[in-house]
This record gives sequence, C-alpha cells and structure tokens, in this order.
Amino acid sequence: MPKTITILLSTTPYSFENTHTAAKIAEAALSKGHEVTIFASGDGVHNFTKGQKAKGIPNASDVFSKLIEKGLSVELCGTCLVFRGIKEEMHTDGANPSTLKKLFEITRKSDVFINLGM
Amino acid sequence: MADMCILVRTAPYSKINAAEAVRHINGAVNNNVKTSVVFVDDGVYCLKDNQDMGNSGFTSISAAVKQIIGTAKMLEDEGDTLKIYTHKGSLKECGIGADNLLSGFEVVDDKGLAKVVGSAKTLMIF
Repeated sequence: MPKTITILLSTTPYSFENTHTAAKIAEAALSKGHEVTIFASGDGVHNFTKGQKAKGIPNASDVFSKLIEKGLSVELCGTCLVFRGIKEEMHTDGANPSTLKKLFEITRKSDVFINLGM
Repeated sequence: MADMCILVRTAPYSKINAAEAVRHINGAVNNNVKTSVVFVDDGVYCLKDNQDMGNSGFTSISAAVKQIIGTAKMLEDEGDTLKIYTHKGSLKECGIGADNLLSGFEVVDDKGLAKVVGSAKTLMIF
C-alpha cells in the first residue's frame, strides 16, 4: 500500500550530503509508488533555484527537476525565500512557495517524516 | 501523546538552528499541533536567562523561549498542547545551574527524555 513520505530539507545543496540523501530516498520511494513531498526550509530553499552550474557533484536543481517530473512534490518555505531574497522567477519549475501551516498539515498526514538538517 | 516532538540540540547564535526551532515551535502551536519541546545537549544554553544581544542585530533566544514558556502556561487548561522539557544530564554537562536558568519547564532524566521523544508521532530536530 502506498505510503506518504515527507522530507524536511534545511541545508544548502553542496556543503552537506543531505541533498543527495533526500534525492535518493525520494527517487526510491517514488519508484515504488509512494507519495513523496520535500519541504525545503531555511537554507534548504537554495536546492531549488534555477541556473545552478554545479559540476563534479550532482546538480541539485537538475536532480530535483527530474524527480518533480516523476511526481515529487516540493514546497518551499515562503518566509525563508523572502529572507534570502529568492524571487519567484528563480524557483525550480514545480517547486512552489509554501507556509508553516502547510508543513504541519503535510506532517500530520505523513506516514513517515524524515528530518535532514544540520 | 504529542503529535510532534521538537528537539533543540544546538546552542543559540552559532548556528541558525535554535532560532529555526523557535519559529517552528510557534508555527506548531499556531496550527494546533500538540507539541513537546525538549532542550538537550548544547540546546540547554537556549534556557540561560538574560541573554544580552546588545545592538548585534540578533534576536534574544532566551526572550523568545520565555515567551514560548508563557504560551505553554496559558495553554495548560487545554491539555498537553505545548509541553517544555529539558534534560538533567545536559544541564550538568554544560554547567548550568538553576540560578541562571529560565523557569517554567520540566527537567527530565535519561529515561524521561526517552519517553518524551519516543511517544511523539513526529520528531523534528534542530
């Protein structure tokens, strides 16, 4: 039976392994038919900006764009975006501004909650 | 049983974690999520009273935590909506005595800590 999985990602894409971990968990869970949401909070919102040129390491924006096409749902903490001056046109397609209210709604409905932070 | 346990493990100011914990605690309460908050390891430094930020631009975490403790007291009649705990062993390790500590929370030992963390449906760590 499909499960609902929520991943809270709150670190930048290239200083920690959390991004890679989040992507691999999401990829594996989606392939098995589970419903996956990544809620990016704090510096985690930097995983979902366009135009990243990372090489020699998985490019976060590219990796997540492919997963969004496969059904990954992505919510970005709206306050965190404003805090960091990340405007809407900079967001990865399919990753949308959200709220703490939404985070707690999703968390309540989740079968599994995974915390990937510092 | 709490819907969520928010574990605060880091000291304020060196990392954003403590401030983010405060933001999420307030968010949980405002969205009617039954929450247990535990200050453990270096997170107990958040409970030191009279943190003077001067004109540094940082928000005083002790003032924010004091406000959260006040909210918890206000919500006492509504059951276990918000409960605040800290860990006895962590206070001892950090050398924080009762004289320079905020008040209005429960101090738990290792067993108590395990019970609070283990009984929540969701664990959020800062």
